[in-house]
Amino acid sequence: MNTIQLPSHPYFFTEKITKFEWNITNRIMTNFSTFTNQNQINPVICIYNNIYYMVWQGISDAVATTKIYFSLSINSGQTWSTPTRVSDILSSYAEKSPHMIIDSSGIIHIVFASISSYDVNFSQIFYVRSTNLGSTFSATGTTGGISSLIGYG
Amino acid sequence: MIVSCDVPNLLITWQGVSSSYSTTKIFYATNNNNGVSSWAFNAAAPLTLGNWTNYNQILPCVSYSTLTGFMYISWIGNTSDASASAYTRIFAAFSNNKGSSFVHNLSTNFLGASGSPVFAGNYNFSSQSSTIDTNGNLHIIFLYQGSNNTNGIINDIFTSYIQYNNTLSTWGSWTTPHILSYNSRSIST
Repeated sequence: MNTIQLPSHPYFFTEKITKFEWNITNRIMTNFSTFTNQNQINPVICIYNNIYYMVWQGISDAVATTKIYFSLSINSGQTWSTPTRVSDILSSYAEKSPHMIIDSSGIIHIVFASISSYDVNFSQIFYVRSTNLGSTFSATGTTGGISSLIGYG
Repeated sequence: MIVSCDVPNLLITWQGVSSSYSTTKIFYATNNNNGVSSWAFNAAAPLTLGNWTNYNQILPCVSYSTLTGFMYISWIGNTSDASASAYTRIFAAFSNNKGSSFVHNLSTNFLGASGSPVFAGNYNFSSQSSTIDTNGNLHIIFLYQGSNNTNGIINDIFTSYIQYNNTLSTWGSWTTPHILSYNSRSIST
């Protein structure tokens, strides 16, 4: 597969773009029954060494609050790994607006916002990283006074 | 949004409000140890100028130039500039010191300013994304509410770019926007 990377930009485009036409037969979430009937939005995809990595904001049957999930594909998007959560923030705190990059050393960097369950107008910016291509992510800890809490807004 | 600025430097930007400002501003944080150490974040210094204080700044996008090592943030906002106070425009700032500070000298040369090629009228920019090419040009792709609609608001997608001259420490001019689509009514911003 020939891929084109926009300089200094985390997104990749592929000449096989027609294979990414979303329909009911290749919708990623149909692979996971616990996600099928829940809203999944704001996906971000990166390609590193021919492996597709994706994060998105979604709801599962197991966790009713919106969280950030991660999955990867080793066969050009034909199948995807079981989604995993990238953070350990309290389940009552909604997470939204993820963004991901994979740097030249192969480390995955993800940022997202977490919204307080006590005040929906108060959100914080969190960061997690993975040094093993998504097998595990650095701990975010519970909201408040943690090293990975970057800022607020 | 996050960007890797040559390992181990990282730059993050987001829109938010703080106790110092009543309107939405563009904040940023940097890390020089590939995310391991703590982040440098100055809540008191978002991307805003004095005459922008009372106006919202939203939808930031970060990019990094492998040619110059500069970090860039572009965003949508309003200023007190007579041509832009009532309508959104696209702004950009850059950092030549790994995010310690950002230079705002596009404050009078924003996309949509008086004298800009097209788009200085009474219409809004509503979404944007940017990247730096290998020649150091800052490319913007954006939605703009066109003036030629007869059936209501129509957003069209355009691209434009500008170059920063490192030797002269000046920006060039925005290129005449190139339209990518017409009547893209279904696009949500």
